[in-house]
Amino acid sequence: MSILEAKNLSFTYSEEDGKGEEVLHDVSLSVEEGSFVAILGHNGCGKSTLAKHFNGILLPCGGEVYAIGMSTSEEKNIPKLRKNVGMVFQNPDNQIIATVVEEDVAFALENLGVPHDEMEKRVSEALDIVDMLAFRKHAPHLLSGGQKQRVAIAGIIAMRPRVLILDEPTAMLDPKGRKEVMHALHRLNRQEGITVLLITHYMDEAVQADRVVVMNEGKVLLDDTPAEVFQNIGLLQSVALDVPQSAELMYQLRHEDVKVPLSVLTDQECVEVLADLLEGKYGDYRNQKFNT
Amino acid sequence: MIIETKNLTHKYSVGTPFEKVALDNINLQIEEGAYVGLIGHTGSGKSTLISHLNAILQPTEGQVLIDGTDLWACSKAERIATRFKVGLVFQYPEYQLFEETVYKDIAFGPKNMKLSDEEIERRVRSSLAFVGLKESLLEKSPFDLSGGQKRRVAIAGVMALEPKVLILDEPAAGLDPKGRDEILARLRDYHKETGSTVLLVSHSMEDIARNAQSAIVMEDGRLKMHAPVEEVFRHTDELTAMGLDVPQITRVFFSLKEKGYDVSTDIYTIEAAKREILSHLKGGKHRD
Amino acid sequence: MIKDITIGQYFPGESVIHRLDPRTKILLTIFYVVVLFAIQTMWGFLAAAVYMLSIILLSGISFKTVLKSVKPLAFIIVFTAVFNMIYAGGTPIFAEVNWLKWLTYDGVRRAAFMAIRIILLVMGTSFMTYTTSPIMLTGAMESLLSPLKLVKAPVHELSMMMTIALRFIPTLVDETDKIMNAQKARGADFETGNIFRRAKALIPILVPLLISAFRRAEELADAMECRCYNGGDGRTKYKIYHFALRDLWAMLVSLLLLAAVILLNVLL
Repeated sequence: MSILEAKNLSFTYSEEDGKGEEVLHDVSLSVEEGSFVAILGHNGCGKSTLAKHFNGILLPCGGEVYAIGMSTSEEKNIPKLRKNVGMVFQNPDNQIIATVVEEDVAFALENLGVPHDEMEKRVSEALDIVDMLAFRKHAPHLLSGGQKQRVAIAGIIAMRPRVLILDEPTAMLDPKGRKEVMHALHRLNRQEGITVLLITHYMDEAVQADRVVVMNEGKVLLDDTPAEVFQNIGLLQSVALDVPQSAELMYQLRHEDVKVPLSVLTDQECVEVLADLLEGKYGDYRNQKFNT
Repeated sequence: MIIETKNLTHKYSVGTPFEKVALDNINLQIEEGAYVGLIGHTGSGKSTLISHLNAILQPTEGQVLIDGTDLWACSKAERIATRFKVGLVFQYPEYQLFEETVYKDIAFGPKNMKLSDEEIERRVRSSLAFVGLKESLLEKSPFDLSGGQKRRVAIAGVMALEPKVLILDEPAAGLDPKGRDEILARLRDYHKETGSTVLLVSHSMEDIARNAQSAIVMEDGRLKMHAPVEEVFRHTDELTAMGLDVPQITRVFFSLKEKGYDVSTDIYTIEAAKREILSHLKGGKHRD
Repeated sequence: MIKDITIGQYFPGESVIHRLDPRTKILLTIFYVVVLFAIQTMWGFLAAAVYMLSIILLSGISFKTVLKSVKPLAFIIVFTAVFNMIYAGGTPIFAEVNWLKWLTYDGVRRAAFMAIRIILLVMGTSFMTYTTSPIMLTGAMESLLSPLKLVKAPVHELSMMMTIALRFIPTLVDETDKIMNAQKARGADFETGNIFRRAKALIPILVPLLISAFRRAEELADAMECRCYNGGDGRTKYKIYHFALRDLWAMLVSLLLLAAVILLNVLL
């Protein structure tokens, strides 16, 4: 069963926000429980707007959105949706409410009226999953960007949501912070079985997902496994997205009539294909004339 | 030398238990007209270093010379004047926008230089062109622009000082690939056309590889390397150990080499990788 | 520059004073202030000084740090003392010297009392913030004021506002620093010129700061909604305060101080 579902969703920001144009056009998408899905697209393609529909922060102008089997348009569903569909935003500084890490993680639990003993247990658990238990008494503003973002994630997973939606959680982080956050997300997905919907414009993060949805101008452009999606190099580049260097190299080699497979994403896959190519497994090119 | 530091050391919170050496005996020389990349992970001292180059920070020890002038052995007026010689674009510069119109905001720096109105107008228009924005934006409020446009207006605001050195701290941070490529392309053109010195601070080795001529690598407040880009990239293992992101293709060629294939490891662009592979395919001899 | 302000600073520690229930500390601080104003005799002040000194010793915070809290107020202390001295009236000390007639025994006494009172007052109140984290203080405030909820006072909202303010002060201080540097790099001058010029020079800092604060507030509101924030109703508390034996002791000792002061007032 799909845990998130958008059916023919359209959305327009109201005139008073100064943006009268349609941001989402007839988007249909469903996400299976337990999967790790990346939504890839450049700024302004509608990916963040889409995400905010799944826990009822935004409501559809046309079509319907369901999360954990409930319509987001019904007011009475909202509390349950918020608890089960957690959301993490780009700037960790603007999500942390308390001046001590553990108190911040407890914030949602306080709101939900969780009893005190249970709260302590859940705070420790949540901090442990994102590997921040050692920092529970620290002041958030003295942490690094990656650490802050992990605290923000802990603050959401303490609610024990079934889905975690992240809106460009690594855009403001350095490479080290990005790695820490991605590591935490994969762990959540694999160990805790939480469905992860990751919105990003970094293709290297999308490569690590089970499934990649590429959005452009408010529409779904591609929706498939990373291996399939990143073969569409021309299309991706036409909408100003990066592709993994390994995939691009294969694409370029194909242009020279070298018969290598296209679905090459990771370092290891690329090394193997190139080694095989040099060993002659993809044919003999000794007398071939290349364009470059 | 347009930029020179001699034994530059900077300590934070001197005399308290929190004392921290942010820069440790930096000796740096940058020639006029160069395009230099500055790499290092967060906390390596990059930001502290660039804040010294236009006298926002004062060295604890050592000297900073800009165009031959020792910044802390000259008059205060001279020191302030070097801020116009060394333009500094901080991270997320769009947060410094404050004027009612794009024009006024870009004009803020030139106005502080007490230039004539005609000169100010010329500079506003030319720097707007450098960042690739249309003149129709000039009378708009900077707050109505998109994120990428705001960023470019902010950069134009520093370019309008017409500095001899332009320093940019992560100018592409938080932008999508399109925004990033546009800004970097505009900077390349700016460097070519004005002939001024550009210092680009970045986490991304790929961005440095594609743009800069030479690269400076910093770690723990120390200057680890300062050499032409190809030279710096030859030390991939060291860079990886420092927690820096090496381009995927460079990593792949290192692995191939380790496996015993006689490939070059000086590869950091797709073009170079393709050429290297094709030349091996033609030759038909791959193993040592 | 801005980072040097020490008002409300907190020095983390594990002393018995740190571990007192923050509500005890708030109540005793109020109590202590009342006692200070009740004191009429030198001996009374001595008792209060001994009380204060014991707290300082117990807390493990250096005496130097405590004195620092008084230093910025030196001018006010001297001013109040002199003012009291001049307008006290009474028997002059040097009756035969004409220009010293304003100097009376009563005046000197009142000046000394006033100075000691302010010094002890500042020490005591700053000690509350020295040994209690801001978040504990807000929590304790909310707990102490909770009876007011019965008359529909927005106690929870106030405490939430204080918590968020405390959380964002370091962030905004940091941001101010960054914006200032960025404008300096464009040649902005905040240091020279008369007061009007300087006030005008602040616009390039204040406008971006305000815009950023609004943006943060908007994002924070979304984030709070996503974490099921729905006002004060039905909330539980992560930090629960328990009165312990040490709180009882603290109260007893403080009552003793009050008793001593009253006794001294009556006897002398």
